[in-house]
Amino acid sequence: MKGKWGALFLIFALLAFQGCAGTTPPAGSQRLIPLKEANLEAVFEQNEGLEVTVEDAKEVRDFYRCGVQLKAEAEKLFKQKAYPEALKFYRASNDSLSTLLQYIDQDCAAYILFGETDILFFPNLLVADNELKMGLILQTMGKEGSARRCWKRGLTSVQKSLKAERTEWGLSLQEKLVSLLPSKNH
Amino acid sequence: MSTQYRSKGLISFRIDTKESRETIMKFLEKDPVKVPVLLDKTGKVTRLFGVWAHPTSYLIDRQGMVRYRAVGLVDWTSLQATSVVDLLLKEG
Repeated sequence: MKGKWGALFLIFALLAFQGCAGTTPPAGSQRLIPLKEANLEAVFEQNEGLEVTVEDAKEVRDFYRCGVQLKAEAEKLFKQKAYPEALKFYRASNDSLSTLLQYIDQDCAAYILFGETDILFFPNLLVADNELKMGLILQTMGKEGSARRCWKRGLTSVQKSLKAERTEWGLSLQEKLVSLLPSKNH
Repeated sequence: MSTQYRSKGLISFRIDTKESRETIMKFLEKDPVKVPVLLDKTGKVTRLFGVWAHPTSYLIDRQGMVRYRAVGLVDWTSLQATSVVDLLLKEG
């Protein structure tokens, strides 16, 4: 009996220290997180500084930082209309984020790292945004079919994000993706 | 370790995140250390280093590159730790 309670306490303790990483808030009860709180620039700002390369990434959270940093580079190239280079960085960013998503697959507006320190943790939303931009690039290259496949994947990711955390950022992204896809596809 | 390696060029710091000077002083009264303690009042340094667990240690080489990171407690007197420090110091 003692062993059983010990195991139960251990399970509870693990969940508690994970913050909201392992919990799903009940649908409908979530507050809509405004864009000024959760947005791409804020995510970039939280992950600037020490650069993490894919080769250096060892812990699960390293893949988040790496994915965000690669996305920041992709965004710069996208704005400069350096599309083939941007595409490479978006793909690399998604590869890194996909590795992370195998272990932690829920977005969270206040992912607790330690003490009172939390971060915006939106791997699904970042993947969705990457798919949106990759689709736009592929469209300009005349690859309509590939572009649609990106947007479809993006829509799946954004819906996963919104299920865990309702954000204006996610809703706006969803709206964009839906508008790009013909209605029969979603 | 800090004392042992100082003459060879190793400089050690402890960085405390989001705690007041008073809190740290109280802690140091109970557990004095010879290593300087730097205050990261806003958590900016912690964020820039991408720290996600306490304690996290970094070894930075003479060129300013982060060469080693350890998450969790480290026995800096262990053979594994000292060999890494020795290797970096030898690089010059």
